[in-house]
Amino acid sequence: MKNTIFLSNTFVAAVALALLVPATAAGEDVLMQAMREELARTMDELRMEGMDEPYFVAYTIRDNEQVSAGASFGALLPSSTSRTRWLGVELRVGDASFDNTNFRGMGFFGGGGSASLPLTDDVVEIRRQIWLATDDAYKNALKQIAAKRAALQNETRVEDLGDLSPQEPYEYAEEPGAELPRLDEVEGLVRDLSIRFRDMPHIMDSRVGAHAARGRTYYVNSEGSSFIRSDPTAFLSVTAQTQADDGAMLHDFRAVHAHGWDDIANRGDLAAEVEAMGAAISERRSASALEDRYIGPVLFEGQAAAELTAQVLLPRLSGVRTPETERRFSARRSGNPFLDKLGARVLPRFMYLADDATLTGNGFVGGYPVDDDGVPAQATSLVENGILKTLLTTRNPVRGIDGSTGNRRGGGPQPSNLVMTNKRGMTREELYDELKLLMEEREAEYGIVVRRLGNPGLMPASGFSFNIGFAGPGAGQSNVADALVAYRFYPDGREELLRTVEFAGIADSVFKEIVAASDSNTIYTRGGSWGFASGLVMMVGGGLGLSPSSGGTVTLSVPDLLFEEMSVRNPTGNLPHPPVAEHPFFEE
Amino acid sequence: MRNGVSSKVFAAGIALAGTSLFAVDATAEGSVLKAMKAELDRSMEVLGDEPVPPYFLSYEITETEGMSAGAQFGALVFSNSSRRRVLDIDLRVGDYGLDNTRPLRGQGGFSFFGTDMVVAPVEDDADAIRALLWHETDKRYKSAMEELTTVKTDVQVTVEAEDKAGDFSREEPSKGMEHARPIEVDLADWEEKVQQYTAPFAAYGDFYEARASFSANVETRWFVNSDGSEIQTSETLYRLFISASTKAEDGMVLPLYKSYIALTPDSLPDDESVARDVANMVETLLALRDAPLVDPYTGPAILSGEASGVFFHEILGHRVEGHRQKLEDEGQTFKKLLNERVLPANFSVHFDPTMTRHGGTDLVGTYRFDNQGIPARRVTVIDKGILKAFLLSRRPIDGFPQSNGHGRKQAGFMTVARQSNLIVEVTDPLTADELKGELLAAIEAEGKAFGLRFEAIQGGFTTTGRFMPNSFNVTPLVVYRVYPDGREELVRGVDLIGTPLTTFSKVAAGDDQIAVFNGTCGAESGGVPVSAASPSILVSQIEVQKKGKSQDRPPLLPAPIGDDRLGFAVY
Repeated sequence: MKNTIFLSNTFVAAVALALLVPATAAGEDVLMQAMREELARTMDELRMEGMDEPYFVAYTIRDNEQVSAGASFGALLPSSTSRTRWLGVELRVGDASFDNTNFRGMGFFGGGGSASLPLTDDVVEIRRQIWLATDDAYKNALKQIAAKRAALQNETRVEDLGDLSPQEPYEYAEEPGAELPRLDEVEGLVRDLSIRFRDMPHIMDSRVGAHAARGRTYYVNSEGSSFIRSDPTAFLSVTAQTQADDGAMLHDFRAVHAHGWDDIANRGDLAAEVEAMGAAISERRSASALEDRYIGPVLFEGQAAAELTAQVLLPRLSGVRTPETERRFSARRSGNPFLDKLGARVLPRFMYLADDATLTGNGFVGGYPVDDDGVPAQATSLVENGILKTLLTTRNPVRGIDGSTGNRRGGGPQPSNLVMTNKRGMTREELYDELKLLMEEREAEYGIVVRRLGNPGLMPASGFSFNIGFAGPGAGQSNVADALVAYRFYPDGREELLRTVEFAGIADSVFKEIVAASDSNTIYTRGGSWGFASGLVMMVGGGLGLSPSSGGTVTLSVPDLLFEEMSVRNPTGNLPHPPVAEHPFFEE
Repeated sequence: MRNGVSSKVFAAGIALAGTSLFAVDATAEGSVLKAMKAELDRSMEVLGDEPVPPYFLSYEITETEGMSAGAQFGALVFSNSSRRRVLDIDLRVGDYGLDNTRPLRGQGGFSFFGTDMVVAPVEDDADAIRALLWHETDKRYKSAMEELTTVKTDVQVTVEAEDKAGDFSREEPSKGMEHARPIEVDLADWEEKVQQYTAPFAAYGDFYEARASFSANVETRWFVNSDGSEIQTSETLYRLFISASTKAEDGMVLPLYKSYIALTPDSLPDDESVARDVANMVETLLALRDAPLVDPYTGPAILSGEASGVFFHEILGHRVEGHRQKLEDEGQTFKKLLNERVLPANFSVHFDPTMTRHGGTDLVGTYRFDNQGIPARRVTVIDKGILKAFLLSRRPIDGFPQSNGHGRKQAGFMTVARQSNLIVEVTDPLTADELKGELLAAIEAEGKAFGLRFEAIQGGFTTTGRFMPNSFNVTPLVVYRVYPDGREELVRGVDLIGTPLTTFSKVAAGDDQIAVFNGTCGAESGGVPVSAASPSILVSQIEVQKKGKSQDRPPLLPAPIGDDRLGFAVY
């Protein structure tokens, strides 16, 4: 009898054990479990005698599946599909008022370790990589805080902001997004679009690229925040270039961003847009050039207004402080000039600007439910009545700004959905009347209207060349890409196409000089820069001194903008000779 | 890499290029070549009417198709397949004596990073291929004219060059057509295998890295030039690379590698042999953690066949590459030693890209045509101890007006003379025991406390320029101290270093144990597969220096692995 009872007890115990440690836990549970177990071990046990202890630890795992394809002149370029799992460790020693971050010394970059993780849901192996990366991060953090203390011991700190702003714990989880498209679907679309260029004899070189990714981000930190977030992205770009008879290089692009591939694949008008773009580039070959420098009113419409905002205003909206440096780093990097403009006028009195990561639908794809610090998405009013109220921040404290605005995307803060509104919206007719008025005041023969502006991330590439011509703020001026579609506008309403124009140094303050804006907005999405066929992520760092951000997508909603005065000219520099031989496909 | 310092790395560690299986339509074969030929003819004709016409033009399209999978500690970390094509254009203006490709003097050699890589369509679409060729040829032509002007000025303002040979050799056209080969393995099988191979490491909490990666690649090349050459070749390469590392208490990272490279899947090792090698790695790693450090030392040593192969690759191979005899910032160590004795009379060294196997191992430095379309051929560089020749591309040097089929590069780079299969041959070799006897005799004769035996090596590097010491470094993984009584002890912490002529003069004897080191050699023209086959050799005097090491302590917390893993406790 006793034996029987004993056996049955053993049986029960075995079942209970099996329930406690489910060997077949779903993959997501395995990732969260592995991070939580190592997090507990790190907070409880990881320390060196007499040294600072970790006071904040965050683990991020990004699981990313992607497909990308490209085509040129109707033939496929190399495609790729891949799946990766990446671990990031953020480990802070000291305390929130003074820790190992916000310091840049010789040989120290960032405070964390990273690792690539197994694709299989093997909790022990995932924990092994977390353990090793955390050990690395801890040792680095100790070196950093020691170097930071050493560097500051002979200096009186002018401002003491602390290094980590407080945040209520937040938990969030969402379902995975839609499945990725099959590679042959993506290849089919890019080939179909690319082959249209066989009907465009004047286009010398063209590329169509597409990319779809299904990212999942897993996050836990030692304050109790955690999230599982879906980061689906889809992107299609078309670039083309030609040369005028005198050699001037002319190009244009189209780009579509969406959350899912279906939103791109189901757009019926892509082929027509590609054809229209080709026709427009060809038309510019015989368009006139601006002989003299033009100074006067310029109207930016549609894409051009949004792209100009993205190039000039957007990089200045991130609140990033300048890190402390070792004394021998004599060249301290200048910070974002807008840090000194909180409370100052940056737009005309009638204009407003807000960032809102909670917006979705209606073309807004820059949003997210929770940022990379685990801070919930929110709407942030940046400019009211033309006055700069705040900048976008992470949990890294910035003078004059209270806490995080929930804008951490990658290494630093970045806008999500940026909405510019105005209280004096004009109809198209009123806007053109205003332009004429400005022309009259100056007795100008004509004004300039810009309808498309180049994007430095989407310049024509031949083969494997990169274009990261993104000039950040700093010297009080921005470099703005050349206009792709611009017109001379005459007082009698006549328009004359220009082949391309260049802007001579646009000042920081230019947005203050907006005279009028339209009553309707253009919604325009811009990527953090993707390579063409290669699917490589390029970093857009600007001149802000922020760590490269992951290049998140930003949607802008911007009205047409009329500027009082800009300096515009024909692109400077000599022109390359046209090709010696004719295009073999179009040769007579 | 500027100022004439060119560093060549010969490492077993190979960056795995991923890639998808794509059946080549048999009827389409030759269509790529036809499109290239048509555009080449048209370019030569149209550009021929220009005031400065090209005198030579070649197109090469290299397709790399492959698959790869990798695992760490028994868990899969990546699995990819991919296919890509890269276009290279060699367009020359001027003439055979002086053209736009002549390196400018006093400005260092070539850029280590090559030129812009031009990605070509991966479909056999003649219209798209020709459109790309047209666009890129026009760009190359314009930059070639600019280069020629600069070169002509440079020639006028600098002192007369020592080497009077021209810039390009005249060669007969070649034709060759090889069918595109398929990849003959299944990626899913290899995903399993790499996990299985690395699983044994997972039981240990003090191994900080344990990876296996596998790749299968087919490289198909289409080549046409204005001499009339038309070549299509297809070469396969299968690689399995296993690496693991631990850390000694003093912070020294102790890595071990095992690399298998084969031309066909049949030549890859079976699961049992890999398991045996992995078990050996585990044992050696554990032993290395406790192995004593060696202080800087000079004295006699035996280099195993593998170590000796890399030693010859670094100190001899890179210094007999043709263009290094010509560039004014190169050390030109062997240039004036032609027809002189440089090794013992029973040593010969050949470079033979036509050999595919040696001593039961595949030789990966094999090819049928080099990257300038010149047929591969055997070149005897050292014959019975006497230096007889250099390795040559189509860039001639004094006394060697023709290429000997060693113009090589990675797709996207400029061709220069590179090594192929280096074969060290010793006539009347000793047995392994006799060689060790010679070592013990040398130890005793010199009154040394011990000698060294280098068994496994990671790779090496050398600088051949004039502005940095002309030296080499061979990085060993497994080294033994050999005591006068013949006893051997595993040690750690040293690199084998030296200068070429001194070290070469100390090569004393070789045995009959041929070993092959297969790897990728990196230099100006990118990474190319090479091999080095050699017996073990005795060097009467070598020098070792301390190895650089990490200052970080081993991890503070124990590994998060359970006590019950694989049935035994680790901590």
